[in-house]
Amino acid sequence: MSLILRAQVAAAAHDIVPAWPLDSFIAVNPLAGRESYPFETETTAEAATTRSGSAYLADYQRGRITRDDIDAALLERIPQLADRRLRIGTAAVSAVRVAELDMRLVAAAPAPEPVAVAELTWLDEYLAVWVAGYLCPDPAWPMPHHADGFYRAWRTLACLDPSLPRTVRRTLTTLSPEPDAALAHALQRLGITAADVPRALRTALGHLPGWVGHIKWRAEKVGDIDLTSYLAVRFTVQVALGITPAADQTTQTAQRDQTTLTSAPFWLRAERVAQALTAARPSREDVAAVARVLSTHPITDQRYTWQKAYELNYRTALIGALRSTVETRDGRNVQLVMCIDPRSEGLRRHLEESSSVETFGFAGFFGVPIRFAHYQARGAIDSLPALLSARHHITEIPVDHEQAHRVVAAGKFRDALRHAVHTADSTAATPFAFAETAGWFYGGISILRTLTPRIHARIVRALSLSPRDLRSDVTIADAFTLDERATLAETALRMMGLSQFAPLVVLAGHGSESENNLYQSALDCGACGGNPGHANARAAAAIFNDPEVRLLLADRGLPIPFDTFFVAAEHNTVSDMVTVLDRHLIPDSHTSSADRFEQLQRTVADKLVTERARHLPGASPRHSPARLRGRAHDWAEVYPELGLAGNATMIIGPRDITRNVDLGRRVFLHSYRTELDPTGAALETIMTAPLVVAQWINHQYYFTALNPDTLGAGTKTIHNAIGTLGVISGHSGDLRRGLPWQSVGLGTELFHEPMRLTVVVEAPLARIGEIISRNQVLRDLFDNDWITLTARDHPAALWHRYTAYGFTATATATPAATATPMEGPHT
Amino acid sequence: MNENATVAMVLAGPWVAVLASAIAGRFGRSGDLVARIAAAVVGLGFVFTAAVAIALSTLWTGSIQVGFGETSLQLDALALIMSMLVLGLSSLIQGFAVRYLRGDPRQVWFVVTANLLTGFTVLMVCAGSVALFACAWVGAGAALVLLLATYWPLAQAREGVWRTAVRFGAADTAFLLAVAVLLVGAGGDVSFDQLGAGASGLSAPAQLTLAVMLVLAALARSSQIPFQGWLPFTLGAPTPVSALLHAGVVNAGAILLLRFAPAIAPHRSVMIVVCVVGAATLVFASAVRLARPDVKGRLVFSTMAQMGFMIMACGLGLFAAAIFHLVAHSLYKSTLFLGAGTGVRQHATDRDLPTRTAPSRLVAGLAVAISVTVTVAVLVAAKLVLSPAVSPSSIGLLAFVALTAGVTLAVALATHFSIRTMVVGTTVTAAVGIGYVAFLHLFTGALEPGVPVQGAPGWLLVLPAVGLIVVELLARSSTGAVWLRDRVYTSALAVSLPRNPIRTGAPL
Repeated sequence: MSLILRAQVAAAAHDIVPAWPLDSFIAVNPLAGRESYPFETETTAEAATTRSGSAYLADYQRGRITRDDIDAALLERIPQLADRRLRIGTAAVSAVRVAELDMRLVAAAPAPEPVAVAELTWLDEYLAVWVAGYLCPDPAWPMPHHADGFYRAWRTLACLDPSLPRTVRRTLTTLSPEPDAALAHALQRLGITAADVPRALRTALGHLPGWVGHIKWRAEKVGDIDLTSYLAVRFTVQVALGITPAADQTTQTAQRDQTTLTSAPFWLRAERVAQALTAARPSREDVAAVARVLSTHPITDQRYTWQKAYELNYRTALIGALRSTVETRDGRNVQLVMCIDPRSEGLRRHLEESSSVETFGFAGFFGVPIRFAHYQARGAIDSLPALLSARHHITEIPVDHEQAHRVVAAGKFRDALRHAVHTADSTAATPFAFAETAGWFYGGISILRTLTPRIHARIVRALSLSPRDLRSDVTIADAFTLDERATLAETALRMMGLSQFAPLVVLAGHGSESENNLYQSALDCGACGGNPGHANARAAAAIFNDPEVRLLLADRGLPIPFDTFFVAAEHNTVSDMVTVLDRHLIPDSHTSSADRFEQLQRTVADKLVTERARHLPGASPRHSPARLRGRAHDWAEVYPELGLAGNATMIIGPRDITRNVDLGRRVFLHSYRTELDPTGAALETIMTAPLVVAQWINHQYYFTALNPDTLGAGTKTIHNAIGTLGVISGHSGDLRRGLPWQSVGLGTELFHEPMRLTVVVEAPLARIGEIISRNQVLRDLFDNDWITLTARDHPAALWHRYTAYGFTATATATPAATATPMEGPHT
Repeated sequence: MNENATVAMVLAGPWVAVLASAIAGRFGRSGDLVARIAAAVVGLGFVFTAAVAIALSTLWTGSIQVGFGETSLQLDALALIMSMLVLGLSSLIQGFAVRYLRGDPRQVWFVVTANLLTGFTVLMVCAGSVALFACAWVGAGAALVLLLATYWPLAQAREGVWRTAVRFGAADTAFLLAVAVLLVGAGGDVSFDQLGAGASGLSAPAQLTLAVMLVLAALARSSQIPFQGWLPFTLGAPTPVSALLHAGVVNAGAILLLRFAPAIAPHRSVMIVVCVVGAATLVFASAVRLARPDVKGRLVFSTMAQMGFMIMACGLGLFAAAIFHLVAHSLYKSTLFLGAGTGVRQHATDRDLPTRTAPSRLVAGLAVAISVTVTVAVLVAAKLVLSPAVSPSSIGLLAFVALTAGVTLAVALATHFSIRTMVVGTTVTAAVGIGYVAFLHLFTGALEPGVPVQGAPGWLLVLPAVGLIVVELLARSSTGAVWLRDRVYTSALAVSLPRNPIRTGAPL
C-alpha cells in the first residue's frame, strides 16, 4: 500500500518543477513539465503562453511586426496557404492576405479578461504557515520536534494548537505516526476511490505551487521534508475539519478562455473580412471563399501566429545581420573568454573595436564544476551548473602568510561584532535597550545610505578587509587528478574552438553587485549556480597554466605555446569593469600586457555603461559613469541592472559570424568551430548543456513577462524574505516563483520582449540533426516549438530552418530597414 | 520672524507637498518628479524645524505658543523633537521611495497619502489644545488607512486596511467621546495646560472613565493588546509604507499619553493598567517574533514588543524615557525595514567569514567577567555623575540597558577574544552607556510633564523580565519543559495561522 501510494505521489509530482532557494537562484522553465507536448497545447488554465491580441496589434501599428512577418508566420504555420489565390468581387487576393486581414480584425476585437490570481483557501494559508515555520533556514526559535520530520512535528504540535477546535485536537492524537499511513487513511476517509487518487493528489499539489516546488527540490537535495508528508498533513487537516474538496476548489476558478472571441460567429468573421476586401457588399460566394481560408486558421491559433510573426521580425533581421565572410586572425595580443551570458556581448563588441583583442564565448564556469570556499571560511558555494552535482572541493592557500593572518583576524573581529549585534537584536530580553542605544547609529547609516550611497559604500569598503583581498592560490591539484584536469582543459578548448593562442588569455567570469536586493543571485552567473564566477575562472586559469596539463594537451593535439599565459578575471555586470584576479601569479613577461588590457578595458567599460544607461530605468546616457555605477551601492535601487532582460537568441558558431555586429546584449554567444570537433562530441555537449540552460533562462523570462503575478514573483516592493529560502508577498501565502516584475518591466510596461529562444548554429546540418534525434530533451524543445533552430553548414551556405520533418532552406534574408529589433530592451 | 510664521513654517512642509503632488498627479505629471519635489519640500521643513529647535534651545526663549482663542499650537520640547523626527524620517523615506517605487502606478498615491500622514502627525504633536489634537489624531489615523490602501487591488492590502480601520474606529470613538466630555465641560477648547484643572472638575468615577477612554485610543494606535490584530496585517503595502508606519504612527500612543497626562497620570489604577498591558504585549509579541520565519513578520512583532516597552514606561510614569525610546526606536526600525532585502547578502557575507570556534571555558568565563565589570562600572559611574536622581523604575530600566550591554559585550568577546575586540568593545560599551544616561537625562529635563504623576510601582518590571526570560529559555530548550515549550511555540505560531472557518471537527 505504502509503496503504491508513494509511487502515486511521485507520479502526481512528475510535472512539478523544483524551485531552488533564493541564494542560488536557478532560472527554470516554469512549464517544463509540458515540454513533451507542443507549445500550443493549452493544458493549464492559469498560465498565459502569449500576449493578448491588442498587444500584438499595437506592435503591428508601430512597425515592430510587419505585414511580411505575418505572411511568413502564416506560411510557416499553415503551408497550404502558399500560392493560393481567390477572387473577391473583381479583384484577386492571395489567401495569405485574407488570413492576415482576419488576424488584424480579430485582434482589434475586445480582449478576454487577463488571468486572475487564484485566491488562497484557508487550507492553503494554514499549510503555508506550517511549512514556512518548519523550513525556515534561520529560525530564532526552531520548530520543536523538527528532527522527527514535517508530518510528525506537525502531529505533535497541532494537538496543542489553540486555533483548532478542541474536538479536532483530540482526534489528531489518534493519528498514525507515519505520514504514508496517515495519507492513505485520510484519502480513504474522504471517500476517494483508488482510481481517483492520482487526480486528487494532483489537484492537491496544484495548490501552493511555490511551496510544493520548493519541497520537491528540498526532498531531493536536503531530505528533511517530502511531498508525502506534506500531503499527509494537507489531507489529514482536510478530513479533521471536514473541508469538502469541492468547497476547497471553488476559488480555483482562474479562467482564461476566449469566450468573447470564440463566440463571434464564424460567418460574421468571414463577412467582415470580405467586406474589407471589396468596396461593395460582398456576395455569398465571396464570403464562402473567405470562410474556406479562415477555417484553416481558427481564432485560438491566431495569437500563436502573432507571436511567431513577432519572433520572425527579430529573427529575420538577426539572420540578415550575420556575416558570411571569414577574416584571417593575426596580431591578436589578448584573447578574452567570457560567459555566454548576453551581458558579455556588449563588452566583447566594444573590446573588439581594438584589433588587438579576440573574444570567445563559453559557459561561465569554464567547464570546472567546483564547490568553493574561501580560505578558512565557514561556508562554501556550489559554483557549477544546476545539471551537475558538486564533487570537487576547492579552497585557497594564501601566498603571504602575514596577510592571511591579518585577513583572518579581521574576519574574526568582524564576526564578533556581527554576532554580538545579532544576539542583542534577537534574544528575547535585549532588543529594547539595544534599540534605544543602537537606533541613533542606525539612523545615521540610514541617512548615509539613502542620500549618499556611494560615500557609504566607500566607508564600508575602507573599514573592512574582505576575504576577496587575500592573495592566494586555488587548490586545484587537490580537487582534480592530473588526468581529470587535462580532460577538462581539452573539452573546454574543443568546445570553444580555441587553438591559436595569443600571449595573454583572459578567462573572465562574471558577478553582479547590488544592495538590498533579495534577487541578487538571479543577476549572477547562471552557469555557476547563481554565484559570481570568479572562483571557476581562477581554477580554470590554474589548470591551463599547469605545465603537466599542457604536456598532456600537446599529446592530444592541442599544444599551448610556452609563452601563453592564462589569467582569471571577473566582469562586474553593473559597472562593466573587468578586474584581473590573482595578479601575483602573472609572470613579469606578461604584466605589461595585462596592464594594457585593463587600461583598454576601462575606457571600453565607460562607453558600455553609458550605452546601457539608455535602457536602464531612472538612468540616462547623460549621467556620469561613476553615477551609473553607484547604483550597485544604492539600497533604494530596484533596478541595479537589467540582468538578462531582452534575451532572445543563442548563437553557436565562430565569432566571425557576429563580429562587429551590434546584437544589443540580447544574445547568448557560444564559440564553436567544427574543425576542432571531429567527433561532434563538443557540439553535443553544447546543445545539451549550455543550450538547455539558455533555454531555461529564456523561458523563465518569457513566462515571467507574460504572467508576472503567477509564474513571476510580482513586485519586489512587498517582498518578505524567509531567510535565504525564498520570498512571500506580504504577511503570508505561497512562496513566490520566477523573477520579480522589476526584472521584466517598469510601471505597467514590459521592457523584456517575450520571445522564445532562437537558436542559430553554424555546423554541419547532418550532425545537428543526429544530435537532436539522439536527445529526447532537444527533440521535445525543437519539435514542439518551445524554441526554434536555424542553421547553416558553413559561412557560404544558405540558412536552414529546422522543422519536425528536417531542415528547409530559408529565403535569403535582408536586414529589416524600419524596425530596430537588434536594440536592447526598450523602456 | 514672528511666532505665527515660525509655527506655520514648521507645519507647512507636508501640506505643501500634499497639494503639489495631488495637483501634479492629477495633471498626469510623472510620479518620479512628484516624488522628488515632495521629498525635497518635506526635507526643507525638517531643516527649518531643526534650525528653530537649535535657536530655541541655545537662545532659550522657552517654547513658542500661538493661539486662536483657546485653540492653540505650541512648539515646546516634545513638539520640536517629534516634528524633527517625523519630518526627517518622512523625507528620508520618501527619498528612498523615489527610487524604490520608480514607475509604480501607485507612486503618486503613496506620495500624497504619506504627506497627508506626515502633515497630520506634525499637527498632532504641535497641537496645544485638546480639540486640535483630536482632529489631528483622527486625521492621522485616517491618513494611515489611506496609505495602507496603496496596493488596494491586493486582497492582503484590503484586509490590512479593513482590520486597521475597524480597530482605530472603535478606539477613536471612545477617544472622541472623552474629548467631547472635556470640551462640553469646559464650554470650548481646552489647552493642555488647563487640562488637569478641567478634568478635576468631574466626579471621581467620571474622571476614571475618561482616563480609560483616552488610554484605549493610545493602545489601539500602538497596536497593544487587545488591539494588536492590525499591525501584522499591514505588510500588503510597499516597504516604505511599513517604514513610515513603524517609525511614526505606532509611536503616537506615547504622545497621547504624555499630552493627556494631566487627565491620566493622577490615577494610579489606570497607570497600572497601562503598565501591565504594555508588559503583556511585550512578552506576547517577543514570543511570536521568535517563532516567525519571515523577516518583515519579525520586524512587525519586534515593533509591537518595543511599543509594549514604551507604553509600559509610560505606565510607570517615565514619560521622558518613553519618548527617548520612541525616537531611538523609530530610527532603528525604519532602517531595518528599508533594509529588509539584505538577508541574502548578509548570508553570503557570513559564509565567507572564518570558521567560528566554541570558546573555551576560560575564555567564556573571562568574557562574562569582563563584560559584567565594564558594564556595571560604566553605568553606575555615569548615573552617579550625570544623573544622580534615582527611582525604582528608572533603576529597572537601567537594568535592561545593563543586561543588553553585558550580553552584547560578552558575546563579542566570547566569539573572538582579542585585544582589538576588547578595546573596541569596551570603548563602544562605555560610550554608549554614558551617552545613554546623558541623553536620557537631557530628555527627562526637557519632557517631564509638569503634573503630579502616580506611576505604577517599579517592581512591576519584574513581570516582563520574568516573562522574557521564560520565553528565551523555552526557545533554547531542547529537552526541558517539553510540554510547556511545545504549547507556547504552537500558540505563538498560531497567531500567524488564519482563523479557522469551521468550528466543528469531524472524527478521523
